[in-house]
Amino acid sequence: MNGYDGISRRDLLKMGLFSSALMMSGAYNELFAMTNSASGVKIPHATHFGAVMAVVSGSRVMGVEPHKNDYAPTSMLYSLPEYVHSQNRIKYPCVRKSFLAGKRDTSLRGCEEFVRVDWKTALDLVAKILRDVKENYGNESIYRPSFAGWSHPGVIGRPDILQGRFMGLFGGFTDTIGDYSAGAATHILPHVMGGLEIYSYQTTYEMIAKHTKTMVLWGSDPFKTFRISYSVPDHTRIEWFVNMKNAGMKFISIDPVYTETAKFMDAEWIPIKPNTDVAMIMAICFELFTTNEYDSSFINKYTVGFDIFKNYITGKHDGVRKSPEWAEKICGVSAGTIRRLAFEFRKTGTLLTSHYGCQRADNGEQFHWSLITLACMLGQVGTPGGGYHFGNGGLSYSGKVMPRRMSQGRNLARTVIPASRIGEMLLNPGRTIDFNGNKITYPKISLLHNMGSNIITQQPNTNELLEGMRSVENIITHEIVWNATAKYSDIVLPVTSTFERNDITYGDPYSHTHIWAMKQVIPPLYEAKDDYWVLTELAKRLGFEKEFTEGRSQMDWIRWSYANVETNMPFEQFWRQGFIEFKVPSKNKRFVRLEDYRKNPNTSPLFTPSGRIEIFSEKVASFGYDDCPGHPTWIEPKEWLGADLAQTHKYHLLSIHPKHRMHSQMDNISLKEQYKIKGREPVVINPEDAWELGIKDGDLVEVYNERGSIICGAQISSTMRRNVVRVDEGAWYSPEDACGVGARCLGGNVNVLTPSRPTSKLAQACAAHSCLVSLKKIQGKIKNNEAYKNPVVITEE
Amino acid sequence: MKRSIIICYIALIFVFSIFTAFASGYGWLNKDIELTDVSGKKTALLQFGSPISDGKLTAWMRKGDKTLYSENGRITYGILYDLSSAVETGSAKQGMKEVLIKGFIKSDYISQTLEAALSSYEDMYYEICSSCHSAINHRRFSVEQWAGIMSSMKTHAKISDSDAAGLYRYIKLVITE
Repeated sequence: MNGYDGISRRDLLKMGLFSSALMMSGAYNELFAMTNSASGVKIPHATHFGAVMAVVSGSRVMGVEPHKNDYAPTSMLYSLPEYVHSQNRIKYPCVRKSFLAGKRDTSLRGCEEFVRVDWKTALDLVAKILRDVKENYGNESIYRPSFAGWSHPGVIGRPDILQGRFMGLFGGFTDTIGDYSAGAATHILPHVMGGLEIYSYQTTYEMIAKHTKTMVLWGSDPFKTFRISYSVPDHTRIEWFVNMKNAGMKFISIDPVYTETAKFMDAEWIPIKPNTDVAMIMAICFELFTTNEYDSSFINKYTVGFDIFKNYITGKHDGVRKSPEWAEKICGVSAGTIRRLAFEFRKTGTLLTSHYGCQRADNGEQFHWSLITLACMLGQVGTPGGGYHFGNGGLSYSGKVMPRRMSQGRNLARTVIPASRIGEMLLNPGRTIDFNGNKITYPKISLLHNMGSNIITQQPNTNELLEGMRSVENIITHEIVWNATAKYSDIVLPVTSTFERNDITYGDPYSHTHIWAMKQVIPPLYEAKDDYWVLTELAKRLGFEKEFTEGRSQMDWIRWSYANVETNMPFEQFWRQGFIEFKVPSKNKRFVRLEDYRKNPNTSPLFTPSGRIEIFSEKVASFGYDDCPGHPTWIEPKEWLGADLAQTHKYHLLSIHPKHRMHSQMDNISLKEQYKIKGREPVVINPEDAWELGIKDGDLVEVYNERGSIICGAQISSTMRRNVVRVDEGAWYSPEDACGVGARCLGGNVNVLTPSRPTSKLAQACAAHSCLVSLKKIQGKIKNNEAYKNPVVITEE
Repeated sequence: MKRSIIICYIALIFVFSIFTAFASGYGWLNKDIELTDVSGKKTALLQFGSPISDGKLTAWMRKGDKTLYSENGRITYGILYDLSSAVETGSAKQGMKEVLIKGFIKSDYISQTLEAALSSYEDMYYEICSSCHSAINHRRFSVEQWAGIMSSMKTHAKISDSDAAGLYRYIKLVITE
């Protein structure tokens, strides 16, 4: 196991191990298939897909060269030039025809032509709408759906941050709490661990590679997750996994899908039924407890509430023993396998890893809470190679101060809704809901103002959202391309892509090993403008330009940001060379999550009411929520293979992240030819299920439930568990009837099918993975997928 | 015993005179300050947001602990370097004794309202903690949870330990005061 030390990527390459290992897996053969022969001027830039030298000829990006420090450049990175120059670029400011004429028929959105207007007309109109909405309905009636910042990694020009700053100065807006990614975990874990935990620094890969013997990938596919980054990826996480495999680490994948990571790692696959992870975890806990194989000293010293939990798993509360036999009927994993895993997990150096997918389900709060409880019973929390490991932490930390970031400032409106509640809010103004021990009342929304967010593919239950959007008088969208949200807007403002604007950013959000110059590569295309320019112009019209800009241009802000960086390098030199790289101090490579707590829980207590890991939380129990009691509990999802509804809809649908796009970004470019089937998003089906359904590879299939229907291309694969199908999220929406709500989506936008139902009253988070569907083969002809067809824009040219 | 009481009273008079001389009657410290005695020796660290009332800084101490607490024990006001710089008032409850602190302090460091005293930290909160996500309503998490969240977020926010500590104290004061 120590053999990994000192073996670098270059060494591996020299030995041929790296390329042969990756090639054999098929996971990264794109690395070697891609070549870049473009010539021209080279300009440094950085993106969510990686850092590059953009090769430019005239005003066209001819190609990109990955940065030398990028371990595994992806197909998406190489596709950036095509994305920037795509035929879907919005060329001019546009206003929906009848809207421009003063009519407010919201049912025409999506099927009416737009009219090209000049920037002055567009900005004057937007400023008037903002003024009118504020005056007539108050700032709470303005809703900003964008909150996550996945459209642009720069620290100055990020649309959501700029919009928050602008709207805050305008008097405020209704905002979003939490996120789609990990909404359930981020609300339960502060009660359990005293912090967010899943966004905390985790034990470093250096320590894992050295000490972990068995890594459990519980609903986790790192090879896919780590292809992109919230800032700029260098894909060194992939390198760590390659090294760990080569060093002989054992991997176990507990997942309804046999993932690419599992395949590459030669992992043992435990094909669990979706949404039943908690039942399986309970059974492992039961087995450990009843065989007295759990670490009682760890439980006694570091946790509270185990007595209540043990009464639950042994059935003293409800008469149900959470035994392996009990769990087998729920999760589909044999009792023998559960017992074997319980025994294996007890061995030193077992690391339970997970990301966020398992908690995007009904009662998703229970997943991470349960896994932490299991880790406590195994007694390895706070050790170098054991315990749990959540989220994206793992790269060791440089400790360097990064560029200063533009801030949003205050939002005086103070009205907020949990992420995933958009449709419900729009349809139910005045409704009060429970939320983490509090109450929230939905405001009436009069203006939905989008920047850097494609909510029609992002939000579960598309038809509910579209119905809700009809109740909104005004929809304004700043966009790069004609995606569905732009098409369903009243006013569309064309903004620059990352290659057309200057910015600055940092490398991995955990390691902080790079600072990147995001130099403008080409002039703005068509009439596109930077978000900063657009909001400055609006602020000018609304009387707070000075407060918004503080007298700085975007380039001034970049210099202001750079001034915060711990370096002696002059800005001009940095801007010219494009990056600064920092080394990680040795001591940071030895970081172990909760090591201090394990050493002494009295001097390094957790920030929970008890100072300990709360297996039972009095606070959570005090809320009295039937869907989130005071300790980890198996609660049947509303939709799963054991539900009555499964008699009607026999397949559990997973809408996991796509490999070749970032959510909906890049769905419209030629990369889709690599994976779309007859122009539709694939639905991946187990071979036996496909045989029963009479579906063959490449057939067109309708996937449907009570919420809607989508058309997909069948991909038959034994990587799927039986009765589980997969349609990756992010395919552009293409309604069969653009004027109606409830139409079939011809492109396979999976959120037409997913529920907007919240996880529980505690987090009110996204539960899109609790979704049952039926499938049928399409007979006869069906309309083309028109997701990538631009709307008609009337111009006077 | 009587002698020590007399000394205390003398010290009290001294403290009164200092605060009267250098500060207005009421207010809150707007930054962390180190007090010095007449010889220039540092005697205590007082934290921003600590209240000055009627020209006095009143705090509560536990036996064997140099930390200065609010009456309910939920907020710290600072720490003594020199125990002799605290003068017991004679009040005691729940194992804590009330003390008065002596030292020099500039009136510039005292604001008339708690809001004004916290304004620079509030600015820092809204700048630093709204650059990835919106600034969170302070009461969304408990004081204890905020401590855990700050420890998670301080590296993401790319701030120093002292700024993180200042932000946490600001949040704590907003929630509890």
